[in-house]
Amino acid sequence: MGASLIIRPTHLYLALFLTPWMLMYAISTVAMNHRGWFEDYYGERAVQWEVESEERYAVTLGADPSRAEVANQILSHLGIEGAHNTGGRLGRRITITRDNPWDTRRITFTPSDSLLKVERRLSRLPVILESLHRRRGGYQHPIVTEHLWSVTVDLVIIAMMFWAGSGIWMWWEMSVTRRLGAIALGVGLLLYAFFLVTI
Amino acid sequence: MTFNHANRRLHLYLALGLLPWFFIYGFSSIYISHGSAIQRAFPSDQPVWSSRSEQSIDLDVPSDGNLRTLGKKILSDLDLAGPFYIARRNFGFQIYRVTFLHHVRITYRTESSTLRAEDRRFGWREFFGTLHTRGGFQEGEFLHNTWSVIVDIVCVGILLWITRGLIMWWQLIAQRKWGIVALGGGFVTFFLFMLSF
Repeated sequence: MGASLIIRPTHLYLALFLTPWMLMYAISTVAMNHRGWFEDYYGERAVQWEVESEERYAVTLGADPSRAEVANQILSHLGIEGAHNTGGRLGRRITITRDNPWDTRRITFTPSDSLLKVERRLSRLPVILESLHRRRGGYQHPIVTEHLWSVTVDLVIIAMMFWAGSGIWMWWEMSVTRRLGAIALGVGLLLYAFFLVTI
Repeated sequence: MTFNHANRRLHLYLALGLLPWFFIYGFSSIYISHGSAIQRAFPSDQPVWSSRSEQSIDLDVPSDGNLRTLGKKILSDLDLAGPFYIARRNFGFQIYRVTFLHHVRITYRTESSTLRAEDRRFGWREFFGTLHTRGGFQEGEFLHNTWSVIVDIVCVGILLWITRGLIMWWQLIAQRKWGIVALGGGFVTFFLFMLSF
C-alpha cells in the first residue's frame, strides 16, 4: 500500500499537467492517420506554399560568412528570428525554414544574384497539428524555449511509460478486476504480436 | 452499476487492452527524439542498405499524376506485394516497402533505366520508428488498414482517458486544489510555448 501512496497521485497529477500535450498528440495523430481525407477536402496535398515576397538583399557580413550567420542575418532582416533549419550551399543557394507551427516560412537566398524569396506555408489545421506533433526542439538548440520544449517532450515519453506501468500496478491492486483485466491485457498483447509478425 | 463505477471500469479495461500500443508509442518516442544519439552510442559497421536485385528495364513513368499503379506492379513482379510508399525523385522514383521487421527500398533511375532493390539492415531505430509512425489507409490492404483503425482507437482512447480522468479527479475532493494547480499549470505552460514559437 505504501508505494500506492506515491504511484496514484503521481499518475493523477502528471496526467493533469500533461493534458494539453496528450490532447495535441492524440488529435494530431488522427489528422496524420487520415491525410487522405484532407487531400480530398482541399483538393490537393494539405502542405502548400505561397510566395510572400521577392527582393534583392545584400548580405553585409564579413569576407567568409558561415551559412548559419547568413541565415540569422536574413531572419533578422525579415523580423522573423527564431527556430529554423538551414539547407543548401552558400556558394549556390540556401534554404531557411523558419519553423513556427502556426506560420512556417521558407526563405530561399541565392547569393550570386542576391535574390531573397520568402514563401509562407498555408496555415491549415492538419499541417499545424502535424508540425506540433513532430516538433522536437533539441538540447543543443541555442533558443531556450526550444530546449525546454525538448524537456516537455521527454517528460511526455516518461509519463506514457509510467502511466502504463502504474496502470498495471493499480489494476493488480483491485482483485475484483483481475480476471477481466487479464483478458483485456492478454487480448491486447496477442493482437499486437499478431500485427508485429504479419504486417 | 452506477455511472461512476462504469466510468472507472471502462477507464481501466480500455487502458489494459490498448496498453501495448500506448506503451510502445511512449517507448518508441525515445528512438524518434534521440535516435541520432543512440546511433552514435551504438555504431554499426554494416552497410545500411545491401543489394537485393538489380535489373535494366525501360519503364513508362508518368510525368505527372499517380505513381501508385506502377509501384504496385513493380512490387508484385518482385514478390513484395503489400502496403508501400512511393515518391518521385530528381533521378526517377523510389518505393519503400516497409514491414515492422524489414524495410526494402526500390530505386528507379530514368537516365540509366535501372531498377535496384535493396534490403535495409535491421536496426532498433527503424524498428521502433516504424512501430511509431505506421498508419494511413491504402486501398486493398486489409491488415494494414486494420492497424490504422486501431491507431484511431488509441487516439480516441486517449481522449476518453482524459475526459474520464478529469471526471474521476473532480470526485476526489482532497485532490481538487492541487489538481487545479497541475491542470492550470499545464495549460499555461503549453500556451506559453505556443506563443514562443
